[in-house]
Amino acid sequence: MKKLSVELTVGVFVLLALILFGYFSIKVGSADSVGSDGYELIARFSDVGNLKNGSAVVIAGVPIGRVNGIALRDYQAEVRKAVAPDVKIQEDAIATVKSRGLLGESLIEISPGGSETILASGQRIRETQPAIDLYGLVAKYIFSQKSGGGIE
Amino acid sequence: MSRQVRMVGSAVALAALLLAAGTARPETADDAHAGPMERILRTTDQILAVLKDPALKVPEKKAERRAKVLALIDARFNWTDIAQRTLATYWAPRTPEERKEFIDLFKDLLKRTYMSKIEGYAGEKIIYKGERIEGSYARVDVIIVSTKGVDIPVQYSMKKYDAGGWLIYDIAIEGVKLVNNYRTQFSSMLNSMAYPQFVEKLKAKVAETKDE
Repeated sequence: MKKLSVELTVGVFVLLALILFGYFSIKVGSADSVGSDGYELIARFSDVGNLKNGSAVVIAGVPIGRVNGIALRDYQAEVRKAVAPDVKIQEDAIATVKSRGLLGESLIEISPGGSETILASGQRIRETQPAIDLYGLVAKYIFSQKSGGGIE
Repeated sequence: MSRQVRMVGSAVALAALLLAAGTARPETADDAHAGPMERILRTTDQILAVLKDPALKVPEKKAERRAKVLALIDARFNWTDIAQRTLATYWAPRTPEERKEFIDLFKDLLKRTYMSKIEGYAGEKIIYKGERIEGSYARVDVIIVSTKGVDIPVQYSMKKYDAGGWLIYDIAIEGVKLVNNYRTQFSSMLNSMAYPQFVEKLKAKVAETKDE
């Protein structure tokens, strides 16, 4: 009887852990911050790195939207994103592709601007900064080492 | 300053160098009607002429030479727009006096940080890749080939203003933008201190930056 109760306890814990694991897997992967009433903004980048559909859009680390679509336009990556309706984005805001977390998950960070003009649905964030090409920068640094290194 | 800031510093100096490098070009259309790249090319020629002028190379003419170069650069930037974009959400609450004070301080900071590097121009090669105009906005893409043979992509962001025509409001080197770099620094400072304190810090920074 005593043996059974130990097995039962372990079983319950394992089950509980599985349920929690499943719950968080679904929660992390789903779009939870923006409802269907969000508005859409566009941004063009010369390089989006690992950005994917569903990647987060954040301001000061707070999620305010999701990437809705990535397509090639004029040899640039055109990213569509849904933004929460109560968040106003200025015309001179800057969108940057960044990496976060252990797995290097890509996201778009928006730094708010100082303009009084607010972007409406379908408009474009003109100022963007692409994903930093670390390999490219390292290569440049290495190949310029001979005479002192750096870009100066 | 952080490593990233130093890197951007070098990059901005190079971008400024661009304005000091180019080939002689005949004066054609009226300057007010010149397109974005044409304006950059002209200013480049003018600055280069000042830097190469043997009469201005003597030490006692250093101040005069610097003033001439500054005046030429000054006329190509929209400082109010740059200041507004840099101060971002902290711009709107400022009084007209505070705005003017900030513009002057920020200009001074950039001048003290980069001027000696412009004057140290060493014959870097410039490749003009072209301009892209979309309505009243334009990007001018350029590649600077350093004396060590490294290609550095530079992009000028320009806007056609009612007063002044095409002017620069941002510079990006290797994809790193001047406005965004300072916006991030100033925002994090202003998050932890009141505006008057921030201005004092900025003044101290300007004072400690060596004006060679």
